[in-house]
Amino acid sequence: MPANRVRPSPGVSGVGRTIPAVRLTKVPSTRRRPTSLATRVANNAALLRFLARPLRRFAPVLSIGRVVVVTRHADVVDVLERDEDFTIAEVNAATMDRIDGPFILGMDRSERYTRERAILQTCVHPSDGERIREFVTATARELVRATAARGRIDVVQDLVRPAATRLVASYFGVPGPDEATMMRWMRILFWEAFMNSGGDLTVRRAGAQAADELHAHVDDLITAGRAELDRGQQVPDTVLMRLIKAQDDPATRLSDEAVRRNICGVIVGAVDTTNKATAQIIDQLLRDEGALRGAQRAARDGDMQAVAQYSFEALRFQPLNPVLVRHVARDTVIADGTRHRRSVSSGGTVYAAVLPAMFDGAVFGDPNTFRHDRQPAADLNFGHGMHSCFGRYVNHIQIPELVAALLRCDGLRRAPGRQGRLEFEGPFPDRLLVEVVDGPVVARGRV
Amino acid sequence: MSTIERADIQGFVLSGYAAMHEARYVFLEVADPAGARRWLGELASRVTTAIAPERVRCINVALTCRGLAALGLGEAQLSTFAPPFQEGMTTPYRRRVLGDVGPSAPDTWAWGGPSASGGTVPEDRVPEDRVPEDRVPEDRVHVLLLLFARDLDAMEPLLEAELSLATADGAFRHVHTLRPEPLPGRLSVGKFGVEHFGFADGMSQPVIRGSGQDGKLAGEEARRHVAATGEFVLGYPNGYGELTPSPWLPGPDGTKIDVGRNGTYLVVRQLKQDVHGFRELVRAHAGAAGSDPDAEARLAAKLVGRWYSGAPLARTPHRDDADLATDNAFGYAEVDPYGERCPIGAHIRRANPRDSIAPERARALELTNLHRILRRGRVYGPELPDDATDDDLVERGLIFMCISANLERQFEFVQQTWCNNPKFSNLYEEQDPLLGTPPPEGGLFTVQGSPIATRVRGLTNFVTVRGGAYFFLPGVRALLTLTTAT
Amino acid sequence: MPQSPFTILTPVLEEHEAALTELLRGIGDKVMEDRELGLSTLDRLHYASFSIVRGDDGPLLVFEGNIDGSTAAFLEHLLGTSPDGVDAVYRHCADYPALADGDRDATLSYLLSSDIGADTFFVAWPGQSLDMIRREELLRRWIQDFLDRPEQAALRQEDPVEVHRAVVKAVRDDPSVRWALEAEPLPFHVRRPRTVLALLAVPALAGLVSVVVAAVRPGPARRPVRLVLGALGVAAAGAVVRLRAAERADDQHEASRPTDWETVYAAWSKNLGQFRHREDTKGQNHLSSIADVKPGLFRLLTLRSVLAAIRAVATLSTVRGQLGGITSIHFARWVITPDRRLIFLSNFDGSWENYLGDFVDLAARGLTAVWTNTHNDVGFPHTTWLIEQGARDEARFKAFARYGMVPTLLWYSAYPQLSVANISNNRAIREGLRLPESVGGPEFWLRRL
Repeated sequence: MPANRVRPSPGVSGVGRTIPAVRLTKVPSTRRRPTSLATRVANNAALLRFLARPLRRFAPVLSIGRVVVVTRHADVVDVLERDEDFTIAEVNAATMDRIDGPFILGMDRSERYTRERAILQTCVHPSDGERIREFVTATARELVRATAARGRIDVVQDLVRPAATRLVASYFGVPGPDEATMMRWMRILFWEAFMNSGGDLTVRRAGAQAADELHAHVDDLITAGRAELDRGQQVPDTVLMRLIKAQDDPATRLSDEAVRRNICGVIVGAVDTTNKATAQIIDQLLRDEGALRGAQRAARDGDMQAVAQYSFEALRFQPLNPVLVRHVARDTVIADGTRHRRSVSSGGTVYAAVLPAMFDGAVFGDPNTFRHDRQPAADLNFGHGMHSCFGRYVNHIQIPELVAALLRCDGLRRAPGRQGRLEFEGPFPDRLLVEVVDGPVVARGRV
Repeated sequence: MSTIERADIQGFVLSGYAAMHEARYVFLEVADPAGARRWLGELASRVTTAIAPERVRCINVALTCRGLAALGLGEAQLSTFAPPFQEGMTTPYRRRVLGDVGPSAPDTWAWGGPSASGGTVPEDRVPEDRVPEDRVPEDRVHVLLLLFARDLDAMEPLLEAELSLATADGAFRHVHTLRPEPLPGRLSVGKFGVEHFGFADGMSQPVIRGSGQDGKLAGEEARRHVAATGEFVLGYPNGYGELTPSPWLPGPDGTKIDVGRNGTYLVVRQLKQDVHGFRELVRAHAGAAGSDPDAEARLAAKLVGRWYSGAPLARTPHRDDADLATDNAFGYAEVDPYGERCPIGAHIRRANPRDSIAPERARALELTNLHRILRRGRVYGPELPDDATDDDLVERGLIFMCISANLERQFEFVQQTWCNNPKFSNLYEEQDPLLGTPPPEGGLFTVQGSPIATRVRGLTNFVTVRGGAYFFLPGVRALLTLTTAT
Repeated sequence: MPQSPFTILTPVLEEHEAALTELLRGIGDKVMEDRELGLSTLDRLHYASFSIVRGDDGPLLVFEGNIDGSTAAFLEHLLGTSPDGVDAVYRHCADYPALADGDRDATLSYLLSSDIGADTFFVAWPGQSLDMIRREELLRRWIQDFLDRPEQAALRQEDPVEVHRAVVKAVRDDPSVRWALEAEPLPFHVRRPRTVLALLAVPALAGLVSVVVAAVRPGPARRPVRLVLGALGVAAAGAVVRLRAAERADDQHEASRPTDWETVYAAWSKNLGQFRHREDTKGQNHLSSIADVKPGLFRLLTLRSVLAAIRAVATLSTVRGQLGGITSIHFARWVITPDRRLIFLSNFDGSWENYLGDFVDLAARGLTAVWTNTHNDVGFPHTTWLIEQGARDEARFKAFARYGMVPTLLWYSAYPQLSVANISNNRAIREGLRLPESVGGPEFWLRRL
């Protein structure tokens, strides 16, 4: 990992604030939390597909009390595009505030949204793609090689989480004090931010604490980065350093706090989401012999375009977020001009059900069949509209590379018995054991 | 609902006239009722309405209940006005409601206090052409002429011309003038004015539905702050969808002439700030907010609820964040239910508890928005330099003005039930850390925190009321009606 | 110990009203120091008030009390401690057998027989005696002072569990507060309202099911049960029709009134001063008001049913410390007088404006159902279906309520410095001392301090 600049752990004292050390020793454990029924249902894509079918057919816009569920593709897209009727602040702003501070994911159209999104955008360059690909390819190969010798790989713990964490360090510029801590922070923060709608107290406490620790850590990185820049030192070209450099120009200047909340907001969504997507893709491919063989062939041929197609088609069957939530900001109509049009009144909640929408026969011909070359591709995997995934450009590269690294192993198959099943910690895949005969074969046509 | 009648509404209701850098608030006493009515009638044509912003000067006018009486309105007619307006600010009951006790008691006010003799002050005590240093009792505060001008060059002739018109033929006596500091003064990073304690001020204002400003705000902020037109202008549906009782005069054949429509009530209070005392307290107790160099700023922020820049603690609890300086789309219920970011008793949390006063967030916001006021304050007196080590004993503060259609449910409620209430939001015995009148042994302020709260003691009287009165800010048509009625 | 209300209603002697008013106002102005009635020395008295209302045959003195234990025991005690004070007040009332005359039983039975109790009585925390309230406040202060001591500064770095442990230890070590570690539970129905509800629901459901079964299944009971059910249905439908007719009649009455309500209220509003004499002098306030029940048996029956329903809701509520979402009421009651007037007496936190605002914002329907059956010169706002509109007309409802107010001549509160929320919080602090999990664990317990 040449680019991985791991500095000595700065401890937990951030600038201007100390976190009582004693509390660190008592990290509330989220392990072995009984997974709630709701989470289990949400994790079970096959069940969701089954349940959604009659809904999409007979009640495409189902409204019960103040809750509306939208299941057809056109309507889901419509809801996600009408970001001033169906807003996100009521859904996300408070949780973003709790763990990070205002971040674009919790903001509706506003001056600040436009400005901060634009500044973030200037700090990711189109040319970064190649660099990301090289880094991920190398990291993944190394990780797979390290464990393949044992004949077993845990897709989650041995490959995806460390790989994504290292990309956060090398590309986004936020190395953790150590990898395990960083993985813990990323998981619990994402969990608290987006998956803890039930307000589980253990998760909440662990989230608050992880937030304090991460913020102190990133504050230190920013201070150090600024100091290095001021001294004229050569600094690694990372997103964080670009944000810090952008402070020199008033037009793109974010306060230190704003740099911190923006970079943290980005990276929190960059590890366990990638993990979940990749694990579910592998799990899905392992269920489908034909798809698996096709994907393996593409991986060995070095046809990354095709690997990506296989991956995102697999993800269609087990998407990252089966539903996206929006708030109804004003009285309006869903599916206007159709026979199933429905008025919704302000104050309600809309569930834009992405999963059934991606099985909508009107858009996806023969939706229940795995077809990697489908047109259009499974377009809702990364959301849609102004709040579609900020990191999609990264994950369009990273995820297929991680998948390909596994596919290139000889004799890839699910570990037998219980161990081979995808296991979750709360909403996140925590283990997926696969067996391989041999380490990764270098793709043909590539070095 | 129909749009609002801008041509009939005084401009001050919809705008604080930020482009008008100079302001003079002139208090007049009616000397000759007939002449005074004539002057008011003529003034109606010069009054700035809410149609379009003036570029050079603005004139608005408001009257006290005593002023209406002095113009010749009878008791029966006055009784249709809001009770607080009729009673004035200085009755024993209203002192309790507003917290005007101790050093803030009206007896010591520079203007608007009860008259010593119970009657009018003898003529020779306050010569008509002089702005007196003496107290101006409430029975001499009849008309408030609000003059605004782009700069001093425009203000001087305006003030002179208007004063000479008002006092011509002995219609009025000029009793007092308030002179706020010229804008822009000190500005915060978010381009809002900075008040004397050093905080950006004026970010959080309700937005009047139908005023045209409601469309400009971005998403969530608009949803949080848009209030019904009738909350600020009489004659339109209020937050309950009803019409707030409006004053009227008897017309021919038993009809009623509504003189409230497009008018509203204006609260004016001169609030003296003890900047040195505030800084002393912050210095002495900074340890309560941490042991680092930012601790003073943090304690100050804890007392106020926003950082100096204006960034809300609810959004950025650990450090000031200039990029959040104008943020006003936040709430407390979800992020900070226990006050560990923004203390429960912090000034801005008391003055506007947002979504925290009822179990259900959306409902709480609705309820809170039934108690909003439009603030129109301006700073007066010179700044106390940041490095001042002693109090310079110069008076400085805020000429607080606010607009609300229902004084009891809006201004007085905020003052009594939120700011001054020791029991606010399950607290025990503390008042607003800035506005409250603490007991002689010093006030208490609780900084909630984990694992335990910190109690800051020894708060002194940082804000002292130096004058105040309730005014009626009539619509233009109503102004004409009032001047022709007898 | 259960709390009970008394509302002693006695006719005031002609010509004595002014003297009695003056006497009561005089005591009221220094109620904490007064030793004649000595209210502040009574250890079972939460709140008391005296006011004078209009009756059909002249003025009536209303003596309201909110006490621990029974009215008889309380009055007996009062007669023992303050005979001169009681005589001084009641000698202005008709047929009063003075204690000075020596027949104490006669005096007691005079007062007891004049007690009309309460048709609906609300207590924020049933079972919490004055003594408990006072001790738990002392405990709260004790713990806060302990935590604020400079030598305890190290606790600020500790885990909540450790802080809690340290407090418990300190409490145990101090004999003056050690009592706090012993259980002193509230009555079962307050602690376990859901259990009580469930226990009541079972027989109710069973009864309902058996009635339905009896009405459906062939058998000897079917016919009479169906007849009864049919009659009930007809009666209910009739009541609704009757109600709407009454409401339409009210609307007509409103349309034909000579002076509109705004004028009536504006003219009256200069009387506001006499209510505000003592309003907002402390954190709590007292409200006494009276309104005439609208004429006719129907309105009286409706009012009684509504009050019974509210009583049931208040008794079986699963959330204590609130009535209809209003969290500022310590004690409140409605009582219908023999001459068809509805008296409302309430001891609450905060200002009148806040209280009435809560009425409108949180409990408009329930309060409409009560007061729509009454009227005064301002008149209750237009109501439909017993609960709709009504109090939602904010301005008029507040005018109606203000107009109906009766000046409270003497008011006593045993703990004017405590709000309902404070009392609940103190209770939770005390409970959490022993069982921190009862308030969500040590972390949440500490947030209450």
